[in-house]
Amino acid sequence: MLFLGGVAGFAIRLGAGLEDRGPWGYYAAVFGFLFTVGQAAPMVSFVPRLARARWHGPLTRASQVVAVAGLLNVLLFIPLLWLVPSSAVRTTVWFDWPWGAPHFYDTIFVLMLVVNGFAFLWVQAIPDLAALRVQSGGTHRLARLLSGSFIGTPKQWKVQRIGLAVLGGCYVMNFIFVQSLISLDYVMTLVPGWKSSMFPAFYSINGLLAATAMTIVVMAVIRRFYGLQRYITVDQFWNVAKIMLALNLAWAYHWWADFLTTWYGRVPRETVVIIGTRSFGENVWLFVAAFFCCFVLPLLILMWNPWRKSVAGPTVVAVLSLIGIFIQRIIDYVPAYLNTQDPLDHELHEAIAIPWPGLPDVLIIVGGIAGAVFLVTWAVKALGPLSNWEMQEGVILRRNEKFLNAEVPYVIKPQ
Amino acid sequence: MHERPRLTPIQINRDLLRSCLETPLVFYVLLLLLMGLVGLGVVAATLLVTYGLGVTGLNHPVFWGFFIINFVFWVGISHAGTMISAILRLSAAEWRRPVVRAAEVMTVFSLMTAALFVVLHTGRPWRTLYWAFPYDFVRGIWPDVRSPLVWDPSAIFTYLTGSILFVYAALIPDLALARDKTTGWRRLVYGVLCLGWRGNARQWKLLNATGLLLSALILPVFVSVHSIVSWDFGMSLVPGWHVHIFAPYFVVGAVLSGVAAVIALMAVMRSLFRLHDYIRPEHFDMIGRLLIVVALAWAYFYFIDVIFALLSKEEAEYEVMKLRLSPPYLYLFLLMIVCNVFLPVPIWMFRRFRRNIGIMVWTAIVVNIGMWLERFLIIIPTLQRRHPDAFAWGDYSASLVEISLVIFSFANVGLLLLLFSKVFPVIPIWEEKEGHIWKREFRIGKLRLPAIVRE
Amino acid sequence: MPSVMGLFQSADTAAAAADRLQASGFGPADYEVLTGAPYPEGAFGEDSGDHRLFIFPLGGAMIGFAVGLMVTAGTQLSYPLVTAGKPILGIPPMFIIMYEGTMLGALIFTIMGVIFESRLPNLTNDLYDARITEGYVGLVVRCEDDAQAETAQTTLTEAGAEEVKRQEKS
Repeated sequence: MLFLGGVAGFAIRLGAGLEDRGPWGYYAAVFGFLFTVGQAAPMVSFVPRLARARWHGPLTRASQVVAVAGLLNVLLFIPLLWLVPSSAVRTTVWFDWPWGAPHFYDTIFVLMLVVNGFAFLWVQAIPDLAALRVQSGGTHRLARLLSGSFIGTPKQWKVQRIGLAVLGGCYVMNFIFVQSLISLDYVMTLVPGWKSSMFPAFYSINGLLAATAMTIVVMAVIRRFYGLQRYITVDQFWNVAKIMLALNLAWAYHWWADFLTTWYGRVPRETVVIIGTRSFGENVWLFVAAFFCCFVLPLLILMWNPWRKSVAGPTVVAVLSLIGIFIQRIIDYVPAYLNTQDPLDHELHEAIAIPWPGLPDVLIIVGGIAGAVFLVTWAVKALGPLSNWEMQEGVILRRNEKFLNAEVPYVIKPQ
Repeated sequence: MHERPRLTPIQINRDLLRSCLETPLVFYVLLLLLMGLVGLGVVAATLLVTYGLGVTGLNHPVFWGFFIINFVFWVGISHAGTMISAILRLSAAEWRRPVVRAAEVMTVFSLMTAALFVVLHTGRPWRTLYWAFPYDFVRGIWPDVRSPLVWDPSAIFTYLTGSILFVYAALIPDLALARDKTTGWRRLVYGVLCLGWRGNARQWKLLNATGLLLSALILPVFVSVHSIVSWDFGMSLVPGWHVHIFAPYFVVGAVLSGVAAVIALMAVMRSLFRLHDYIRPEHFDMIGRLLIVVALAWAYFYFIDVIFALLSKEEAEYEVMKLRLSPPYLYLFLLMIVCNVFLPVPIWMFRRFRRNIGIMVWTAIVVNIGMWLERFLIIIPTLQRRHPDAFAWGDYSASLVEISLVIFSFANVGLLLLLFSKVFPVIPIWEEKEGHIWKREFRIGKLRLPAIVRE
Repeated sequence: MPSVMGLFQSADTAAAAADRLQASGFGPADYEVLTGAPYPEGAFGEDSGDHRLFIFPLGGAMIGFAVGLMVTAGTQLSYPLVTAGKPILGIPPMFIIMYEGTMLGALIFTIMGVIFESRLPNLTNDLYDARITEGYVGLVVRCEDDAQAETAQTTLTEAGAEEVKRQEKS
């Protein structure tokens, strides 16, 4: 329903026309947010796998399933293609390549990332789908189609493992690349005189933070909804919370480095964008909200091990971080789209204030997020909330054993 | 830990204390060699102090030369210790055990050497204290805290103190061991240093908690140190230096060069003290994997740096980058890229190469050449084109004094490490034993797999 | 109060001996386990007590922050000289020094904390044996009186101690 509302809002905006870029700012922010959140989450399952930490079994599905929202992202992305002027009238990363830059290339890269995410999810889910196929006696059509002839021979497992590693590695690199590209192409080059090499990195850090936050939220919801308290334990929340805290700190660090260079340099051209528009000045309250949600409150909460080692603590922080990132995306996109000056101008003359969203914007925001949630819910239902085979692998490779008089957890590390 | 042989505590004690209790001939040879090189540096420094900065190649407009490059380089190397020991300790990576102490100690010594270069660079070292530390109460004139050149000493002082404390805390049990294994005045010295450590359960528990706590505390310092070094450049308005990305980019570069240096250090220790049972190919393997990630991250940041200079369409920025990308600097630039990414990363991709210690040492050296060049390329071409008017452009070539001091810096760190290894065990003995105690093998099917307690 | 130390060649026998000690009326806090390397907590059923190590860095951080604030604000106010058009009390540069001060305070106090909480430096001449660093495990039992010391001695000997030492102390 909400999603339909979003479609309505979109229609209203469309009715107003594509000529004027300004009103589309919130729409772009929603895209930016969903793109960040949706595409980032799968990485959370990859990193602990790389470190062979063996606590990630219960959370892989939660993190990877979010990639389905990528489907929506592709849809959302289409109108944006028309909105952004071609590289002829602004600076661009494309070195003035004439053929289809930026529209063509960006589309390719976005599609590539989404496909990569789906592939990652699929390869990861093959063993479970195969199990579903067998359990349902071959009647489950989707499972039959997607699991192929997987029966779990050592060779198949090996191929699947290598596939996961390659896809995961590609995904991380792809993600950082696409996020940097989108941030450059769709935000930065629209604002005259905005030249901060920190921005793509900061944008990507937002993405990584969103990834962990989203994973925790999905985990918490699944745990509650499916009653999986015995499978998704505090252990997972605790471990992801540590990563999230590190990313909260990294968020603040990147912002600080950007801000300090600007503050100290006092170049008017930089100050008007980075301090005037993005941190203080007109939009100070938005920034303060983002700063508290992404850094101050998470630090104050997660600093304490009892809170870190709980379900509620990390979940609260995750929700806060997501809100903060959404605000940050508004700060990123809306002023860029509201800019009325020529992007080729040497500098921005006045800081751009962010207006309150209108009704269509609210509809789009709610609808977009609802659409993503809907897709993810559907995928969870189709694939199951937990990655079965990884849970079983976890049971084999992580066990509590007696050590003299104490009972301690052992982690087995195969080559 | 797959290849860890079963060793008894007695064997571990004997092997790891060997460097302190026995003195092979090689030790003296190395000692003499390094002392000779350090002596060379002392002569150069004396010349510098006596005759002033005129003996260097520094001249208008290039006033930051080899000294500052070397300073940044050694601060970069110092980031290895924390990276290895703090991050690996926090993530409970089992392979950290034999590496941590050497890396931490290298942090301390390279940081000291780095600080020395800033002092030398001023030409009148005795005056440096005035602008770095608020101590002269009589004059009532204080350091300007708004200057990055004052942030620098505060960061380095914090990092150095933290690193020394870090090394010391982890050294206490080994000092107690050395106390038990020695006699006479040595026993007394070790006994005083270990503070009467007994090794009861409470002390161990606290030591482990401290390891984690110090790791968590020193990580933010570690990030701040190289960020602040980068802000020595970034806070200025010099085109090519006023770059927003500098802070994280410098930190990643520091980690790259530092961790690579750890490889070389490990290889030297392994052959010098015959530690083949402790520093094994699998450790090089793991460091190689870590370095792939770091090198790619470095490439990402470097790419952003370059692309922004080219994109900005600002004349000054563009001019600097153009100079960096045209001969003769182009050759250095290409060499740097090849050294840092294109040569080592493909090599590290292969398990066989990662486990070949000779190849790993070569990649480590290559990476450090690349990283030294990177600092060179950031500092020198930029200063040559610092001013907008062409008549104020200039050139730079290093003098013999500067070159000998660069050689001195390497010899100095080497000498300090060598002397350290004579007095203290270079591999944390208690951590090595802990690894033996906490591990167990499990049978799964026909396989015997190693497992480790994870708290 | 006398104390008794049993020296065990393996951790297994030491753990069994700790069990026996508890069976013969000693509490988990009455004996001290000496090892050459850390064992997982509670491996010998010992009670190593609570600690407040985490308070120390907090206190240190506060002190460091205060000192940082004093150094930055105090020195600038006592000789106000505007440089580079920056305010005398510019928050961002002050923050950097205060931050370093905070971390330095936290680091130093952590070390002080661990030394204090580990009850170091330890100048007493308690029972100890150099073989503990060779993989032996020592169980030091603190006894109320001689009778208890006798019990402890026999228990440790029966549990397979390599050597049992006794120290009389006031």
